[in-house]
Amino acid sequence: MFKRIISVTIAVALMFGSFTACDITDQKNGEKQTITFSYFKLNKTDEGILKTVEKSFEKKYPGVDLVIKNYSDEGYDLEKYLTTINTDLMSGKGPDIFPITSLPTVKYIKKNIFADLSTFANNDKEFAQDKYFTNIIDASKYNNKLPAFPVTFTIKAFAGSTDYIEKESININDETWTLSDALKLAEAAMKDLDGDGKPDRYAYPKMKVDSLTDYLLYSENYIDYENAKISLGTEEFTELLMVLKAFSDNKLTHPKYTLGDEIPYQNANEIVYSFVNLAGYRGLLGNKYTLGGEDKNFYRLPSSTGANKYTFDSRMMLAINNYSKNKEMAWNLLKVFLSDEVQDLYASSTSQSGFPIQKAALDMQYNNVYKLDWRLRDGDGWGKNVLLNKADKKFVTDYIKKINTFTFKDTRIEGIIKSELEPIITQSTSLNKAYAEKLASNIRSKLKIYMDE
Amino acid sequence: MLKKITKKILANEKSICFLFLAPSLIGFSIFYLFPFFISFYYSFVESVFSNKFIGFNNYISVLHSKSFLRAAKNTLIFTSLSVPLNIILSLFLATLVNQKIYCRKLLRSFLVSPLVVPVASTVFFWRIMFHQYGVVNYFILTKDGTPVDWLNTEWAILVILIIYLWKNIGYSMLLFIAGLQNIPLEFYESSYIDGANWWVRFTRITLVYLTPTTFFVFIMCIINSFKVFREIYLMAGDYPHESIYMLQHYMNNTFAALDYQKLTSAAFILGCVIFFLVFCLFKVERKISKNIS
Repeated sequence: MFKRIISVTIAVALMFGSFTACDITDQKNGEKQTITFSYFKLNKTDEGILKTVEKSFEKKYPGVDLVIKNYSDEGYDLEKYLTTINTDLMSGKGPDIFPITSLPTVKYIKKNIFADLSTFANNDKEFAQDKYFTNIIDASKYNNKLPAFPVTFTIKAFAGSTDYIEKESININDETWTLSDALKLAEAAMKDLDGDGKPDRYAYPKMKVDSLTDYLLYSENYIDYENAKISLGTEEFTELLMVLKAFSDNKLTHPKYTLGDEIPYQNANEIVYSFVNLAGYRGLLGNKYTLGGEDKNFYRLPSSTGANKYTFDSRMMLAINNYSKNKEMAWNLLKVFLSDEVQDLYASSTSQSGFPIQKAALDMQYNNVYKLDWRLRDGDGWGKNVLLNKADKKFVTDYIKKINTFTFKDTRIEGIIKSELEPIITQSTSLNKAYAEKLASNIRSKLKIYMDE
Repeated sequence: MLKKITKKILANEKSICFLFLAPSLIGFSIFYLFPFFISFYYSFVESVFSNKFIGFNNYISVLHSKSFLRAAKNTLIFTSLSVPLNIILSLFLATLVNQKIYCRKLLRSFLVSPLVVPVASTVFFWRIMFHQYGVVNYFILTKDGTPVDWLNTEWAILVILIIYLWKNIGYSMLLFIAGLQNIPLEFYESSYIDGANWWVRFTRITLVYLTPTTFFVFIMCIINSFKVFREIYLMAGDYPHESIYMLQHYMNNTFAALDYQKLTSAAFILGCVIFFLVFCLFKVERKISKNIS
């Protein structure tokens, strides 16, 4: 019996030994090192740029094979993607580097899944940090660690018709203004100009629940992740919901146009304000175009508390898997995304790719878009020109200088809030205080459960 | 040589038993036994990546989690409401359809039919019933009442209770019918002669001889009460109203959040509670069965 046990043990040991030997032999045979970049639902521009990144990286590191895995190619929905990437990460097969979009980022940070990129940036002598917007990089830190690096970024802003604001002598102090101030402005903008009993001038285009959650709820840090708390009390939350409902109500919004719709030149003066997402200078120009070609003044988004927070968002914010064996190489890949070549691609992209994180590339993007002369069709001929102007540049550069906050998104929190907001936004009935209180209390209790888990 | 070994194995009864059992034993080990021990190991380490042994810290952290405690409390409330109700109602229905009554077969099929309805259809039906703008609220409005957001208020547990009973009463009823049909008729006949009323017959004969069946139904009801998570999840998502947030929600959500340490610790705590409960039940059942015999 004892002999049998010994022989089986030796056989098993030999088996494992042979596996180990295979591993060593393979490496000695000069097999390529492989690093994996995975993503879920990137836009076409980012996918196109990814191909250039792959070429540049493999040219610079010929001994390394870059494998790109697209989870959305396999027909995954968000839920399946989250489950799959969780399982992959836990089984040690997770990607080496990946964008943090769509992930429950804070939970991942707390689980130490993301490597601290500031260590790589500080230890890498070749990496010139001052080429980039360091205040944005600092804003991306969580507990003094940098879990993800923004390659590009976008700005959510409030846009008002320049013509209307000048005519009505409206003064907006966007450093201190609140959602209630924005609501008062909106109410003042509604006007029946021809006296037929129906308004001819509206405050906003209609807003969908996704936009409302994004623009208003996530423009601030309502959630204190560190202490598993919601910063707003039920009363403040109720007020916020009432204001949110007012922003989506028929009383203030144009009956025909929804945010993101193209508003024709002829109807441009029917809507005076809008919430916009500025995805680069081209995105800024695109917003002017879709809003009927009118010149716009841009402002920081109103907050519920008036807090002086300048936030940003990013569709391409890359994190490195802390448990990857190829962290150094993944950092090298991240540097390719930040290289002059790739940042210039973002600057000269013909779609709304976001603002590049590199200072020189941002200037280049402005110069590229400044040359554009888009024209709106006016009847049979070409009418109004839509151009970028110096005021637009001033808004963007001033705003970027002031960026001091980044709200790490959490898809689960977004899901909870959206599912609760959806009925009140889509219903045409008015939201009374009692219902808003109940809703606020439901949202708070669900968020509390999530954070207490 | 091979023939000899085969012959030797086939001559031994134990070896043949083992050979027949081997496929299921291997399957059981791969899919249950090994994962069980691996999960047990995970519940004592800091993370899957670091593998640092931290003793009972994960268990302490789970027992301090407000969400876990809330989920445990809700599960306990739901189980202690649903199981007795299921047993009482199914026993009543089983006794009813065991009599010679009009449409007995049709009634029996009607009560068992929820078992074969796919979950998606079940959920769809109950959502229409209990949606804020659903059928139930429509009737409330026609009677000038105030509509209730059933799944987003304290009423949610009642909705889930109704769904659970609707789905599971038929199965328990079938088990009770089988048990009732095994009671010898002679006992009832002699009780008639002795002049016993229906209550005495029910408590002294029916209930006593149904004890083993009742224990089986009791255990099945507990198991099925845990399965109600599927319906809650499909109706109210992974973060439902706090009154119907169950232990399975906690485990499902901790899995989604990569918190496998909390997940495995919670699973083992739950496993221990169920083991203790079933152990006590079997002890009681054996004692009662002994008394009967």
